[in-house]
Amino acid sequence: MNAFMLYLLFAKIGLFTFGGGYAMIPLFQDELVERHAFISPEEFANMVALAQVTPGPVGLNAATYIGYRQMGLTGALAGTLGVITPSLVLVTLAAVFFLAFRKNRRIQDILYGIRPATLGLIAAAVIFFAESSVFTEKLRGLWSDSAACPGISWPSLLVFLIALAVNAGPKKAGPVATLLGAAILGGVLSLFF
Amino acid sequence: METPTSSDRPRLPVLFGVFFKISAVTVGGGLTMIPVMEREFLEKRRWLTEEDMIDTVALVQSMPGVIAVNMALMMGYRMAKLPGAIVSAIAVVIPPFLAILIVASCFSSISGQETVSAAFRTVRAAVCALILLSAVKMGKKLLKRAFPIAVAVCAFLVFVFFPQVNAALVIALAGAAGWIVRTPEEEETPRS
Repeated sequence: MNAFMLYLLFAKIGLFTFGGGYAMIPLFQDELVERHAFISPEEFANMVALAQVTPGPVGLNAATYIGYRQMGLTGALAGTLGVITPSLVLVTLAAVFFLAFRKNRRIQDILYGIRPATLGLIAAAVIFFAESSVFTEKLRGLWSDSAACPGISWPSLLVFLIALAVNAGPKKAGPVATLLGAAILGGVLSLFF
Repeated sequence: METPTSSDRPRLPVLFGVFFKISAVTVGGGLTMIPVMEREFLEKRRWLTEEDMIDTVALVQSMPGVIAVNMALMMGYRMAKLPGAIVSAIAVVIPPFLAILIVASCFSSISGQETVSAAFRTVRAAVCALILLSAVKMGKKLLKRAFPIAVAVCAFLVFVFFPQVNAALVIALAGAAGWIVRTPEEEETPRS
C-alpha cells in the first residue's frame, strides 16, 4: 500500500457515501477494518469516539486519522485529499450548473417543492441532536414502547434553554459564543452532577 | 448577491475566516454549520438570502462526500466563484486535520474522558437550540401555504421515523411534487 493507493481508497469512500457524517462510518468500516485490516475494530470504535470530540466533520477526522496511522503525515494528507476529491469535482460542477439555471421557471418550481422538504430535514436534525443531549434515550422509542419515559440530562436541558434565550431576541449572543459557552458550562456542571 | 464579480475578491479572506471558525468550533459538521453561516453570511453581511441557504443545504444533502466540505464548496462558489469554493474548502479541512494530527501523535490510544464527554453533551444541546432557531426562521419564510407545509411535515416525519431513507430520494420526490404543483404566481422570485 503506497500513498497513492491510500488516496484512491479514500476517494472511493468519498464518492460512494451519501448523507455524510455517520452515514460514512459503515463504508469506512467495510473498507478499512474488514477488507484491508488497516486498524482493529477496537481502534476504529475509539477513532469514531475521538471524531465526536474533535473539531470538524467525522468523515474528515476518520480519513486523517487512519491515513496518519498508516503512513504518518504523508498518509494523513493522502487520506484527507482523497476523501474530498470527489466533492471538489462534483459539487463544484453542481454549483456551476445550479447558478446558471436557477432562474429557470421549471427549476424554480422544483425548488418550491425541495425547500420545505429540506426544512423538514433540518427540523429532524433538531430531534436527533435532542436525543443525544437533552434526552438520554431515543424519543422515537416513545411510540413503540409506551412504558419508557426518556430520561433528561438536566445540565443539557439548562444549556439548551440558555442557548435559546440568548439567541432568540433581536440581540443575539451568536453561535460561536454560544457553543464555547456551552462547552465551558458543560465541563463545570459535570463536576456537580 | 447576484453574480459575483471581481469586486468580490475581498470576500476571500472573510470566507476563509468564517469557514475556518465554523470547522474549528463545530463538532460533527454538516447541519451544525447552518446557524453559523446564517449569522455570518445572512445577518452580518447579507451576501446570501434565506432561499440561497436552503437551496444549498438541499443540493449538498443530495451529493456524495463530507457534508461540511460540500457545503463550503457550494457556499464558497456562490459567493466568490471557483476561488471562493477552493478557499472555503481548504478552511474547513485545516482545523480537523491539525486536531487529529496533534491527538494522534500525542496519544497512542484514545479514550473518552468523563468531563470531555459531558462538555460535548451540552454542546450538542446548544447546537440543538441553534438549529431549532434557524429552522423556525426558515419556516416563517417558507411555510405560508398548504403545499409547502404538507411537504415539510411529510419530510420531517420520514426523516425522524425512517432515518435509513436516503435524503436524496426524499428531496427528489419533493422536487417532483413541486414540478407538478408549480410555484404560485405571487411567490415567483422577480427576474432580473
